[in-house]
Amino acid sequence: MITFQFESLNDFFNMGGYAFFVWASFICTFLCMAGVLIQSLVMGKKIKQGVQKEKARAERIMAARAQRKLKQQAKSNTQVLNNIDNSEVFDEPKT
Amino acid sequence: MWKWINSFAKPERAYWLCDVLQNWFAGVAITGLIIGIVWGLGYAPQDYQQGDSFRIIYIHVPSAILAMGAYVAMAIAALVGVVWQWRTAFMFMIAIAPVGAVMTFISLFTGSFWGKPMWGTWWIWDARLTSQLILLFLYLGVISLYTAFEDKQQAGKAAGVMAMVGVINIPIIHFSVEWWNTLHQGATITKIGKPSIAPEMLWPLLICILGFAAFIGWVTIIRMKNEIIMRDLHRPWVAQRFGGAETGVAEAVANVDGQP
Repeated sequence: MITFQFESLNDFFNMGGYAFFVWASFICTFLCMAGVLIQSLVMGKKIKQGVQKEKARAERIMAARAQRKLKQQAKSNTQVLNNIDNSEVFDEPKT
Repeated sequence: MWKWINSFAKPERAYWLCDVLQNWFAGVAITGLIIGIVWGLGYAPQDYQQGDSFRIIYIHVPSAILAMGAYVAMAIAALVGVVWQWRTAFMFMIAIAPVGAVMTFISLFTGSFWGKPMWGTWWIWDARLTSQLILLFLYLGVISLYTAFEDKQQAGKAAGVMAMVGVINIPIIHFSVEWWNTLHQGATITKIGKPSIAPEMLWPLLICILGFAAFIGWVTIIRMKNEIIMRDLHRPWVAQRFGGAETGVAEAVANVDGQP
């Protein structure tokens, strides 16, 4: 019952003389659909990358903070020995 | 039952549901579109009046019907969002809006390329065409209203009201071919009783509609997932899953504690 309706492939591309209208419609549809699909996928990827970046940044900040604290502790230990007031100073690294 | 449905209002649950459904929609969309379009383009019989130009029907009708369907879905989501204050409903609303706009554009474009050889004109200010154009503007209105607000809950409400008001356009589009004298032909499938199309032409059309519907669902799910992550960026569950600033802190602290 279901048979190919065109005699040749050339005939198929010709679309009974309506080639321009038929193929322009199908190509435009394909491009639109592919466009919205790809845009959505790329957006998702970017968002996830952003999340990862934020994570890395937070890790850097915390690592720097911890290191500073260790240094400060070592410093304040010697300061205590010298009987000098030890006040903790926290400052964040610029990232 | 209501409690179960309500559990999906939580972004975390909604995200899980999206993950489960995504591949199913993708599979149905790809197979449906390939089968439907190949069948429609090559194997469906020629129309006795329009020749091969009628094959545009296999993208024109699905995109037009589903542009309206997507609008109704968007408006229902807006209603749920406004009435029950679901954040996820607004996320769905804004996820489906661009997809629906693309579908509306496809229906207008293919209609124009079908109208030129059949009616002899690219465009005419006729009831069906004009109301479909208004549908496109409604979609664009919802999208731009949503992006105009900084506070996304406010944005959802404003765009949601617009989406709900715009529903009035849907019956106008559907009945425009009956209410007014128009160049556009009447309904083919959604007629009461028997559809006025031969079954050999109808089957590929139905498969195309299924494929388009699944495609809309697929892209909407992808966009919905994006929207959920973006809105919940600083909530613990997103951090746990994808690693946000919060896990960065937690891991760094764990590393420092681990060091002697």
